[in-house]
Amino acid sequence: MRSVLDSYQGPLVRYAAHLTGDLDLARDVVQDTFLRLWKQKRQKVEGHLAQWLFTVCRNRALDLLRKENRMTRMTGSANLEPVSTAPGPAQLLERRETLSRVLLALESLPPREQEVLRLKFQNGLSYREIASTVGISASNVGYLIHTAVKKVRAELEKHSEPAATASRKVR
Amino acid sequence: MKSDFQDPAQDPRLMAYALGELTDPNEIEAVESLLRGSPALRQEVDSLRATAELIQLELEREPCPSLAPDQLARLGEPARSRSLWPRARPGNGSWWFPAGLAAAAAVVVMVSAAILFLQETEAPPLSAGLQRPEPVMDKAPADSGRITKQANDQTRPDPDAAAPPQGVVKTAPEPPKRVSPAPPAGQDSSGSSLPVPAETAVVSENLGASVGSGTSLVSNVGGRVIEPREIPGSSVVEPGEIPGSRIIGPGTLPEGILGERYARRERSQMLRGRPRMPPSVPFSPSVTVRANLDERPAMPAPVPSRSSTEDYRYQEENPFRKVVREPLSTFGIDVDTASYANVRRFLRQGSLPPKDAVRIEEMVNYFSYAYGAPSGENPVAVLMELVRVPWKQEHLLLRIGIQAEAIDPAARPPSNLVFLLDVSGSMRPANKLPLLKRAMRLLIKNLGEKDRVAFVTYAGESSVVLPSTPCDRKEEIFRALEQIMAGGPTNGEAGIREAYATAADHFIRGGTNRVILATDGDFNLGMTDEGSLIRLIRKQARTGIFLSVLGLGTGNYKDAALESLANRGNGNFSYLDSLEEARKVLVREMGATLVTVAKDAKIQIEFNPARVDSYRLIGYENRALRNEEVNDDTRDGGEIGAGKQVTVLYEIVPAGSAAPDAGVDPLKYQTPLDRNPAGSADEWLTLKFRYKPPDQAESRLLEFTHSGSAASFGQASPDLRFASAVAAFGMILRDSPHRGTATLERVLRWTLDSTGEDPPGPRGEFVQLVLKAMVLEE
Repeated sequence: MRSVLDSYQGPLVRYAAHLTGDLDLARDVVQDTFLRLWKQKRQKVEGHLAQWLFTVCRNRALDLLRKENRMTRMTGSANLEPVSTAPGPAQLLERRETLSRVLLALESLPPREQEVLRLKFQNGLSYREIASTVGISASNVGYLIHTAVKKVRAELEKHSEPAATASRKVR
Repeated sequence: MKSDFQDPAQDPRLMAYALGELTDPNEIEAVESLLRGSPALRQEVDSLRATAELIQLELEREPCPSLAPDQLARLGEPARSRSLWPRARPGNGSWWFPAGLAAAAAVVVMVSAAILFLQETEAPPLSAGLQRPEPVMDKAPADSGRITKQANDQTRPDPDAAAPPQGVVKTAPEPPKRVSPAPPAGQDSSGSSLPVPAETAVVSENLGASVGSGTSLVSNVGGRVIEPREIPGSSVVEPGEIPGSRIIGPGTLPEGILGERYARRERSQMLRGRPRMPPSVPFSPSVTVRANLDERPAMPAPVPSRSSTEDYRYQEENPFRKVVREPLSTFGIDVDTASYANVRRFLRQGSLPPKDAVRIEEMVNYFSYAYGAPSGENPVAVLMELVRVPWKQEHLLLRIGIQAEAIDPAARPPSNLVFLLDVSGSMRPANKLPLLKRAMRLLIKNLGEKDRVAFVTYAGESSVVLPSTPCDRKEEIFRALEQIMAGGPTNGEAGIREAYATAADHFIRGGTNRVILATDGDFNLGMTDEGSLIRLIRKQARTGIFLSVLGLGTGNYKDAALESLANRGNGNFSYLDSLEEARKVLVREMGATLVTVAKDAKIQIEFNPARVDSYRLIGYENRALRNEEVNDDTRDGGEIGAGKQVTVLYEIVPAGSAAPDAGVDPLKYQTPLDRNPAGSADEWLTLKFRYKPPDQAESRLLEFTHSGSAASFGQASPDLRFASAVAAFGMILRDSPHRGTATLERVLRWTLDSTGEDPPGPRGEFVQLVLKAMVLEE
């Protein structure tokens, strides 16, 4: 129980914060999600716990947003940007540039594509799990991810950086 | 087979294939046949995968804000169950504790702690309001721009001057070999192969300042240094050694208020984009229950770590020891580097690491130094260097560098590897199982037909996913790898037995036989007592099957338990926090990770009381051996992998200078000091290196001595200057009482001065971490 809480609370808050654009609201959503989980019967979630958590978390977040009539979804991640404003040597800056280019590219994507990328790459959900969380088909998930990754790559290549070498640059 | 798409590059299955998301064998075959026919498509898949990795790296770096402490408390914070899935209790359909029964849960935890093993279990907080604040660290001026400039202004030491004093080497009768202190062979790009001047004192402008400023530390008076954390709740305020700075022990402030204010600051920082790890583990000093895996002498009472449920075993730092009373210093050699990667993860996520996550020797040993190559039959070369300590006036720093013989990759003996993968639900996040799978891909790519791999997973029940398979059948192996998914409860015991059985079935005589356990440590090993697990691992190690442990993930990471397992299994322990780190551990250092050139290596140092008053081993706290154990072949020492380096640092108080005494009255029945020792009065110490060749049970002994005078810090080799900076950084992060005048600013200065030609490499990265820590301290 504690392990479930430990493993998932951080990722869920991060996910919910991106959906709602509000960290406190996200925390309420996640607390609510766990309270619901505690009431679930073991058999109902066993084997697909992550999917269950993300689905409930997502539904709760969208419910709350609807209730509070705050449909404007935050797509940026400015609030959660980990990079500090520290002055640093040139390499630090250069690295941050490469990284923030990826972030910028991500932020230019439609919300649905961003969300799918987050579920996949931040939370390790499979296509099928994402499909049932977001309520679309698995092949649709595959299409969205393929499209989104290609868009990010194209954004990066604009800066004359082929993606294949870009991955090597980030070290 | 054909793609349904006119332009096959538009086929989303390419992406799915690159991510291992295709599960239908027909589809996999379809994509693979497309790829076989088109180099362009293969390149496209690689490019998609590379972009996906980049996205993943970036997204993984995003911080995970935690729930608020009160929310965590409401959700059952107190119950610290060790397995992901608590046992189903009869007659209750719900498998969780009902929310709000914190008190009942507390009792359950306390009782069950008696039957748990392998992991610390913390009892619930007495009050949710008792938050343990992160100690406010010494406030170093953070004007890094200025510092950089200062450092750049320094002239590089004159390379034409004489070399520093080096170790004289003797060998003991077994084996009858002479080892010469081979000069650095220039295999490091760090510039350390340059001869180092003995006379120039160019760098000393800054260094003089650092050595010269105030050195009296109240916490040091009386010699026996007590860390404030040992007496939680008491009021210990250490006066800062720098005017205007303050070190505040955790027990010094009214905790309720501070906790509250801290929590608020936390949130606002989070929103401003500078999150810190929330102090989600309440400060409950008196009720920590620990099942200690170690058979070593009793450790001081553990103190709970301060972030989430990551467990770090509390280690008291080695104190100064008087040579008259304890001339011998002994430890097994530890070559793990996991702590550095872990510290890096914390700093990158924007928080200072918990003190006990900082193991100084692992940080120092993360970096490579130029120590020369071993000569003759010896598996190791030893290079010693003695300089003045930059953080403490009058103290000296002894660096012992050990370089193990490297193995030509082509001549690498065949490997028989069994991956034992934790696929429990907690392994699901992208930085755990998915990262691990990509890391394994990297490793397996480099294995050949002589090598074999097998995959055993453990969740609800263990299963052999891939029987031992020669590594020329890569597609088969990769396909099996991609099928591995996380989910379900954990049962480690069956998995471990299965893995060892698989390794034994395909044992390669003269080769590398290894079980590689990859987990976030949240496993339920299912064995009834800790002894049976350790016995199993040790027994297997004696038959030649070693155990390596790869630690994964954040937030649920059981550091102490994992390291302990690896140590018992004659293995190494690495922490994979990113694909870069996975490349370092599994690909670049594969020789060292897989091939052991010396096992049960132990070092014993005898200090010469004529020259050394007292000494302190920096780090290595968890590898302490009793003196008599060095000659006892049944005791476990450390393993040294091919090409591996070991760096050991001692802080030495030279004879004749005022030293912190242990606060003991002079002995009544012994002559105080033997100033006429039997050996050479010029020698500082004798180092005995005892080891066993990997396939033998009999140990061998090499002896080395060091004499000559100590150089100033500015005359030290760049390698030693850098290692000192890393050690000082570790001491600052641990808030060590021995940190002396070390500040982040000074650390930065020493590093900038000694990164050599390696700025974009690991040393450059270290500089960035120091900068990051400076920002966090503000």
